[in-house]
Amino acid sequence: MRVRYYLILFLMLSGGCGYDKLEIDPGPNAGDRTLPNMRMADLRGYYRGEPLTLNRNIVVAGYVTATDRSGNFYRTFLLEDESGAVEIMAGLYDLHNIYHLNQRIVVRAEGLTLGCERGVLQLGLAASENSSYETDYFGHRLVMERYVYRDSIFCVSDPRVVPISELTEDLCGSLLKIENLVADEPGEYWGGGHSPDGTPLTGYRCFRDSAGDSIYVETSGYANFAGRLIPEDVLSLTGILLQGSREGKVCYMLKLRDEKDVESN
Amino acid sequence: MRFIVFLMLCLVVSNEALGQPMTSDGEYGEAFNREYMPPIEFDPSLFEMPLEGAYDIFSRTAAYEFSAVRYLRRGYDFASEAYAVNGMDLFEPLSGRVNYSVLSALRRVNRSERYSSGMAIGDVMLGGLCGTTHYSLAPSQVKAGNSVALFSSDRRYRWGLKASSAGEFSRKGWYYSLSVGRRWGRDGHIRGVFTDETTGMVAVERRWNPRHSLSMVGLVAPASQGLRSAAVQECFELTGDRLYNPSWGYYDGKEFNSRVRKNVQPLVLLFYRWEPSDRTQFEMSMSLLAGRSSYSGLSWFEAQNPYPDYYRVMPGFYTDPEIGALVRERWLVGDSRYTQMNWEEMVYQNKAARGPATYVLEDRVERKRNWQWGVEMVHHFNDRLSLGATLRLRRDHTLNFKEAADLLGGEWFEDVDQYLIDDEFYGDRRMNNVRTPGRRVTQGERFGYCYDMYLSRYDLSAQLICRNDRFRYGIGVEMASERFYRSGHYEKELFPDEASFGDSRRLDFPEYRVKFAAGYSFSPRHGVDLTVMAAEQAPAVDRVFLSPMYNNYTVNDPTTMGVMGAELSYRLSLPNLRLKMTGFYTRTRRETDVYRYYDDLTSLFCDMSLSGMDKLFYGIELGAEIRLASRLYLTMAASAGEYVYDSNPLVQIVTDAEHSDVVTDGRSLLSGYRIGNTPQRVACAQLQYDGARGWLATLSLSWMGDRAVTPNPLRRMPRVLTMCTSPEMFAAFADQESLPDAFTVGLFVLKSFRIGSHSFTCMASLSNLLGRSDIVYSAYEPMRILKTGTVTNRSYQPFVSRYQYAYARTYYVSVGYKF
Repeated sequence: MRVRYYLILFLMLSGGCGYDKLEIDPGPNAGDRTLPNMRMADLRGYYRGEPLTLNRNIVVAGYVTATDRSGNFYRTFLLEDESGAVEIMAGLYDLHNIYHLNQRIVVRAEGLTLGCERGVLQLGLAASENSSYETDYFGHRLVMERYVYRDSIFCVSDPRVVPISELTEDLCGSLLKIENLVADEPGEYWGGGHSPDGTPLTGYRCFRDSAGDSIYVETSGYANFAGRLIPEDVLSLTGILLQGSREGKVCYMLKLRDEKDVESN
Repeated sequence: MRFIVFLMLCLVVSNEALGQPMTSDGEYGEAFNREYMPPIEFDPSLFEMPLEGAYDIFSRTAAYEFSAVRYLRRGYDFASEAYAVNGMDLFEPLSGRVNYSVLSALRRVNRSERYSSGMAIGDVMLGGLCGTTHYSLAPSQVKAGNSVALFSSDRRYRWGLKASSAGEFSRKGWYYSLSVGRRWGRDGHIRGVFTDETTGMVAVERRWNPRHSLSMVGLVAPASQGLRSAAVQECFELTGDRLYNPSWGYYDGKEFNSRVRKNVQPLVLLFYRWEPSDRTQFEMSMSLLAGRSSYSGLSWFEAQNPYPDYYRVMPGFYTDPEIGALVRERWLVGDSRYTQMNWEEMVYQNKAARGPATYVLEDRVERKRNWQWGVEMVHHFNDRLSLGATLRLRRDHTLNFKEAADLLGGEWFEDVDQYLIDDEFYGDRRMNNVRTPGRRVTQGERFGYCYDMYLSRYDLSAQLICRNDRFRYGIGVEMASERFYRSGHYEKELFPDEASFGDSRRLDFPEYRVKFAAGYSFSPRHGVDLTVMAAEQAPAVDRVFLSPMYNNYTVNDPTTMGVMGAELSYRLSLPNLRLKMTGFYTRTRRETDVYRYYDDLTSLFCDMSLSGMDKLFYGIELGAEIRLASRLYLTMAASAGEYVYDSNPLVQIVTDAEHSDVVTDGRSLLSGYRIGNTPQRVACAQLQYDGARGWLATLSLSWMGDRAVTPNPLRRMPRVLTMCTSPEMFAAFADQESLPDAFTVGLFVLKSFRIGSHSFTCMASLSNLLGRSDIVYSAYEPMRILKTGTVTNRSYQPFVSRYQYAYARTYYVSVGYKF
């Protein structure tokens, strides 16, 4: 009799399931700790004014300095090391969850195309012959995973403080902070409003420092702060440096990552 | 007796100790597919064989033989069958459906049952449109004895154990009935589907004398089930698996399903019977059901859709042929990172965020309280005239909320509307509850929405049945009144103040049901019966409130649904032939429905309400049993009908965020379209050999034809059809896709042995013996519309249908011992 009870008990207990119990490993994520064999500045040195397919074992690594979280950057993110920066032409949405701000990323660039757009070095796929761009997007995680690897290290570094007068093309793509700026049109919105058919427009706002040098701040109409007003104070702005054209002249532009990049002095 | 109690304790302990989560309290978008409603399951065990003669031939056959497709008898796509257990109505007005959790549990425990077919007036209840089943759990009405069974299947679970005992345990008139059971295991064919289910029932009855008895029943059936989602044809073709299920994925080498249904709804019944005379019976009953049911799903915040079959990540979506080929290649080799839920990636992203979770596994919870009280009386004036009357009261209260079941490696997330985070117009009004702004949600806490639904109902019915030698008459009337309302606990920022917080307006619906039945027997062997019925039924709550999760808004002028029907039957009973043929005609009027969807034409989340929807159901059913030889029977069941929409319902569309009009006084041109999924023609032939020495074998051939996909009302609106720039585009929207006919073969074998007064039974059944894997179980049309081209040169096409295929060959085996 006792044996029968225990046998039944065993059968009952062995039938326990827990099929829907997801036991998450509490440890940190694994990461790719590969060391780079080239700096970003050296990579820039390869670029000679036209897109170049890299056919060497080139490994660069850097920390993510700008993502698409606010919507001001579209389907790309920026990596920066101590010497320079490169824009990864991902071609995906919601990249900020895949490649987090301040996360270390390793790029095995052999087979990728090196290009430059508005002074910012780019790594992506080869553009089609008819394309007006130098590189094309990866377009899918499958493709990205062949070249772009995530590390589990995060590092928050302060942006380099550079006055407008010292901006150079080599700094394009880097995260910079420019201080003591005043907007030419305070009280305007960061974004450029909407077109007649309702399409959000990019805004270009001019700021000047105490020396009278100017820089434009470019804000996509899709950025979540595009509808915010520009403060009237003296500001410090942090963002990604790039080149642009306003009123027929080439000039430097800053692209903010989000509203927190705006500091009142 | 102690042995049975011990078994029950074991089941409860194993249920609690081994991870079946009893979590404590504390549509939009394309991701939320319609729930998978499993077919009515039949476990052909000793305990669940229908009472001989209680079911007509067609009913009995239809319950088992057409389960390869989503069969709705007579095409009724609404709750048309009535179920009750000792005075407790199993229909839930708040959901508009029968409580299948309790019904399923009832079918696994000791019980007796009475069945009335079609529109017939029931003995105790007035009855439904398509069959009335009245269960009794009174121990004295259950066959005494003990039994144990072990069974196995490859469909939804693997193993099962069942034990029951019933009898008299005291000569002073004490009766008992116990049932315990357990089913567990993973589905043998569909990945991610599993069952972990326990059933326990205790019933005690005290009979002071044959005229007085008091019974108390406790029934609990905690269950956890992994579900399957429908998928597009491209997924089946790429995986080569028609039972592909996109809802599950691997984590740490183990399968986990994102869609899990959990139920624990304990039920307590108290009923008192009194027979003041030989001709009069009273039964007073009180029931309390309190429990919780939930569905799991995923929420994501500013992140990529995690579902592997999301249209934007399918190979067919990519215009770049190289990327399309790459993705296709991953599907073809079965890379589960792309073909299934990628739990590893979700956990990675949550951990990398170092705090706020991007992906959250949520439970959509309904915490139910249902109280019913009823009195039933039957008086037989004489052998020819009887009167039955019933008075019922019920109170239903459901608390609905979302709960963070698992943060998948994250630590918290902010309680905001995930669909408004990127919204350029409403992104600054995304708080789900302004009364707790910026609240961070951790595991086990509520978020998203929290509201009560209250319902009260009373109904009074009476039926008079008169018989003489040849004629039978019956008339039944039921009057009811129902009131329900919503009460919000969260004040949603989009809908401030009383628009979402506090009580909605009270909605009152008077109901009635009238049945008239007449029958004439030409002889003791054959006769005809006619039943006509008219009714007005209250709509279900989710067809009245536009978006009950978030606000108190209702459809314009909610109204009752009208039902009119008639059925005429001819029955014949000869020594070697039993036959019943029924013609039926039913018309429903003023049905309502609500859809919550993403409107691609306006790029807005919208709520669509349909009203004035009429449907027509008419046809003929035939059931026949022919005795070919002393032990050989041929059973045939067939039905042919037309089940169609009979009007172009009025359509109102409002934006979900602002409740502003998108479409007013629109129409959906549904008239003439077929009711979806259910076959309009079915036929079954079953050969049964009732052998000597306890052998029984049946071979069934079943055919189900003339089926179509459920039509989507949005596609048949002029605002969509007028956009079509070619006949092909028009046909893509307007045509209703037909589903292929289904043909199955089933085999059932049973052998029983007598060992003194004990019996030992072995049975085995094989469904879909031919192993056909191309049978579509069900399909539906998504509400999405794909826009391609440019603003000035736009092209539209509907999203492709989503399907679920039926199982190929499955088995069920059982070994039972009765003593």
